[in-house]
Amino acid sequence: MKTESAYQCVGEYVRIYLPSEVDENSCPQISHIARECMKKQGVEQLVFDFSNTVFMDSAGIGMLLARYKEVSFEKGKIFLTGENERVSRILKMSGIYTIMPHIHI
Amino acid sequence: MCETMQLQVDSDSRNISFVRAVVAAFFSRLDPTVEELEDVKTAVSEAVTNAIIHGYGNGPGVVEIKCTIIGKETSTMIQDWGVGIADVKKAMEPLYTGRPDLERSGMGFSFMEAFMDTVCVESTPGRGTKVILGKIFPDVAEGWKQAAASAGERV
Ligand SMILES: Nc1ncnc2c1ncn2[C@@H]1O[C@H](COP(=O)(O)OP(=O)(O)O)[C@@H](O)[C@H]1O
Ligand SMILES: [Mg+2]
Repeated sequence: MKTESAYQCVGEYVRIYLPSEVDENSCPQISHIARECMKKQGVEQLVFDFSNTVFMDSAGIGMLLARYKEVSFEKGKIFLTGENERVSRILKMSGIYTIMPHIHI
Repeated sequence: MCETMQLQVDSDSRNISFVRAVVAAFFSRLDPTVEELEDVKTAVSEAVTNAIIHGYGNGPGVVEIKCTIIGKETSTMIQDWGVGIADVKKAMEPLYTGRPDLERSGMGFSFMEAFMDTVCVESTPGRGTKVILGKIFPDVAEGWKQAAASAGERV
């Protein structure tokens, strides 16, 4: 099972690849990677990539909200991509799309 | 007739995915839809996470899970012997978190309520918390089987 998170710079975006399960166990590592990447790459446009993610609960929402606070402080933006139907439902229920829009890249 | 399953795990965040997988596997004998199983997995994940991070403050402890099936009705109890909740009503309010210092959303109980038919919380400060999640799996599976069978006949 893939539990590691990683990031990559693609054009003007910094893309953070999320693990298969975004929960209380994986979120500390995602937060760590995201902060490290913001420090090294700046924080203009951050993209969270859910292509490998099959499960997410409210721990993931808490992790995203924490990133939103950090990124907006630096006047950056966050986008979400690759969500499957289930993850998308969780994101919709949380209302997070109003602050982090979905993009197709 | 009543079928049961009991599980005890350490308070360790690696056990959250283990527990939700085991509970889903147990209930799969009822032939639920993928969505129904995902609903249960998410709710169980929320309750077990709460037991570990709030009940035991991420420290050592034991989390007990008891699943019951009676006909089409399922119940999943998640219990800890941690700090307990002083004001359950307030704890269950959407967006409320007792730990704003952590990266919490305060949506755990809201997700449990959205995905399950019933959510019952019993808690005593200093003694622990018991969350009982109820869900009925309606017999949609039978409908699908019949549709598939008659589609098969036509081919
Ligand atoms: N098992 C538990 N033991 C002690 N406190 C709990 C427990 N479950 C929930 N709580 C309390 O209820 C609050 C709300 O829980 P929840 O809706 O899951 O939000 P979050 O976990 O994001 O804080 C928690 O912050 C905590 O204060
Ligand atoms: Mg919670």
